Amino acid sequence: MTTSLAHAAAREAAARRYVKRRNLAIRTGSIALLFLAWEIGGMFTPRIFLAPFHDTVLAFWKLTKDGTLLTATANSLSVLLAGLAISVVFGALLGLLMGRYLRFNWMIGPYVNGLYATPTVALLPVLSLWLGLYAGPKIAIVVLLAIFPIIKNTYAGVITVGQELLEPAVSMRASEFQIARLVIAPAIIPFVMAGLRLSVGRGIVGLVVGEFFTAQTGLGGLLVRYASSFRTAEMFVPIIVLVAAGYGLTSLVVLLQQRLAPWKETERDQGL
Amino acid sequence: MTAIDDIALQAERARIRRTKIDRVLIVVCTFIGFLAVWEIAGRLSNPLFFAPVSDVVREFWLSLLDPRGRLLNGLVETLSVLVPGFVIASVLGVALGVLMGRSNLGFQILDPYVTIFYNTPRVALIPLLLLWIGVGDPLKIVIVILAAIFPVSVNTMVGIRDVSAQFTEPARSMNATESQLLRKVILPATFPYVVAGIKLGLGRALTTVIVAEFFVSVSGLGGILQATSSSYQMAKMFAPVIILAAMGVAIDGLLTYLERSVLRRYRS
Repeated sequence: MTTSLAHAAAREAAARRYVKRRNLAIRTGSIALLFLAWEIGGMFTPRIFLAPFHDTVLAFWKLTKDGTLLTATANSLSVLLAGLAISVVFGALLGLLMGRYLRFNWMIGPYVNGLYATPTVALLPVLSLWLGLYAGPKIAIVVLLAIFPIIKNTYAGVITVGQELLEPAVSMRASEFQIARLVIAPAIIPFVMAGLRLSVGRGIVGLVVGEFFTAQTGLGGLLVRYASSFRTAEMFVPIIVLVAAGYGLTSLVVLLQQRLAPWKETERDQGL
Repeated sequence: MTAIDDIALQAERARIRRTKIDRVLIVVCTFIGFLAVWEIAGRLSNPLFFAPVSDVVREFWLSLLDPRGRLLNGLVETLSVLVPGFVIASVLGVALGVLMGRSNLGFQILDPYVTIFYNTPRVALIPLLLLWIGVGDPLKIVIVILAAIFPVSVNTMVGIRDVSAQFTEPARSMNATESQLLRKVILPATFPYVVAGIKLGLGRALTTVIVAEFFVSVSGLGGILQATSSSYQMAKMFAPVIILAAMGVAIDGLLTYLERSVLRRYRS
């Protein structure tokens, strides 16, 4: 009896392993096909439209070695992280106030909702007039794209902090500040992080647009420079780094979310 | 008994009415304050950098009456790439989502690409597509499709998987074929997810089309923005911004309404 059970379990595990391995093979093959098509396509098209894949790999190596890529990446990341940091601080604060004070919500709510739905990149020309061409307008446009998911998620978090958490605190004469710090803050961390996860992608869009249309610095600047000089092999390098940065930062936020708030999996992706 | 209930009810109604009046008052006062600050700041600052709200409204009105209709033409140009691009993206996105949600092979093949493209800042592809397609309307349509297709397909896929887990067995037990299952059970139940994906996709499409018009900078609302800001016509520059904000809010409101009414239908 026990042996046949063990047999069945072993067979089950083997079958699962087989499916897993087969799925991995299909995925690898699927991606390999893209690179193959890129390589072959690149051989037969004029270089100004598409360079074969191995040229991009070589360009990646070359740009890493001469430091161009590192400088550009550092430049872009500092703008992006500054924008995201500002968004988290002010977004969480605004969301907190909106959730705690009904009247404040009535005052600010329409503008937050309106700007969240507006394609705020449209404000880039005027931001550039006001703030110049360097880090200022870029950080501002990152914030204008990234802050709204954080505000909305924090707000949703604050209003869902249940009465069962608030009432005991109030009955023990906790001050408003103590309630905010000791009850609400831990409860809304998962919501802030869920907002931040959405903000990363939006922030990168803001960063790239800022780098395209103000002073052409960073990865976006590299991209435009190579595109306008038809250096297609080099052009893919900043694109690849941007994709990796987006994926990496999003994964980091998810990891942080699990570390900071392991007790709660709730997330409310407002306007997902 | 009923008399007391009545009094309590009336008191409650009066309280709700007062709260509503409070709310309207606060919203209106804040808006007036906002306009006042804008007006004063506009009058005090250099006209090259900012314009008071009264000038913006006047310019907006004049450009609506303008016989050449630059603003309206810009709006039509933007919509003429946004709408077809978005329709194509929705149809393809739902098809991709169904394929990925219902077939493991489809999922394994397509998922790596969807993950990559979902994480690619779509505006980063504009310079590349500019090389491949040129500066015309096809470029913008392709960009709109690329911006909007992935949120739609990812949401559709997630929806189909959630729904399939619930409904496949009961439908199978009643001898439903795969096509019946898909058409009559799974797709209708997935609709709320699709609407959420479309909402997200339309927002992205709007942003991306503006950026594309910044690049090409001869047509559409983005083109007008670029032209007016580079010639420091501040009052004129805010007109397309207002239209875009209104478009964003209208799309968002419409789809949120649709989302809610669909969800309500499923709850009951």
